[in-house]
Amino acid sequence: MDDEMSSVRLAQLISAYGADRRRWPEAPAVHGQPAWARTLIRNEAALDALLDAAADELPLALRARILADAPPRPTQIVRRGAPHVWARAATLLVALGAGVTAGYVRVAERGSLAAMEQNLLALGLTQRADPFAFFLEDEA
Amino acid sequence: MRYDRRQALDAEARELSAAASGDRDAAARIVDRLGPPILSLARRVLRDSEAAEDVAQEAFLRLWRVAPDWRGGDAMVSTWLHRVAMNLCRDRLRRRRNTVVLQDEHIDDAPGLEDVVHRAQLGARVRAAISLLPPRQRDAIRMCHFQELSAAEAAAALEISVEALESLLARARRALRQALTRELTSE
Repeated sequence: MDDEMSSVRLAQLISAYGADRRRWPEAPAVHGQPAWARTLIRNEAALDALLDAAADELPLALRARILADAPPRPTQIVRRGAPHVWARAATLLVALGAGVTAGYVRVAERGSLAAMEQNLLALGLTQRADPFAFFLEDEA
Repeated sequence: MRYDRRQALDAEARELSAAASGDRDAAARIVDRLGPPILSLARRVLRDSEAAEDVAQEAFLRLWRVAPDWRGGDAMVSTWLHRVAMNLCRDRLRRRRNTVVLQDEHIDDAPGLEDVVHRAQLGARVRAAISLLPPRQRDAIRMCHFQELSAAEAAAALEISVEALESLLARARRALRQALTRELTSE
């Protein structure tokens, strides 16, 4: 971009966004600060000041930051803690359920194994004194 | 008159108490009412938009901290917040070692009634002038100047190109300058 085009762009930027460079989408490189640019910036700065006096709303990002700092709802605190408590309770319940189920299965297995052992003994196919010994050995 | 002030104080205290209890609507009402003048003050004193926003955020953070134990008595929340913002501005100016601004600006702990009234009247006039702009120009000014959206964001929101946005903004500013010059010089 040559200097003439940069000057045109600079004039466009000041006229559209005002004197505050932070509002400009880009900063064209213009050598020095031409007198016309200084005048234009001064005029637009005055309008910026008037607009600032009329500001009846905050920039959205700042508003969001300020509200993010505001005290949280008590329910949010409870809700934030709740999954933790319920997760623990659920874990305990699952563990308890699993234990009960496992115990029941074991007892049921033992019952069926005992019955099977009795049948085997009756058929003379085993010499085990303790019908549950092999089961207990497996467990150990 | 005294009764009105008492009512206003009580209403403010109730609103702040609600905000302290986590009422987001109450917090938003406080921010929307007190935020713009606090930011405007910080901008005027610091002449630095970014630093002014930091000051506004910090001032509100301090308000949220004291909110649960707010004992305003006869003090308005706005006065308290204004004082905090001024102190934060002073700290920043001191750090910058920029005493010129302090001398240039008439800085007081709280603005005088005349200043408040003048600014309020001026603000109302500018808002009235903005309200007379064509809707697209008004939206462009609101988004780019007050909400500080980037050019790309504002253009996307208005569903136009950045070039078209710049044209809207330039026309809006030209119209505002003419209207306000006419009005402010006709006094």
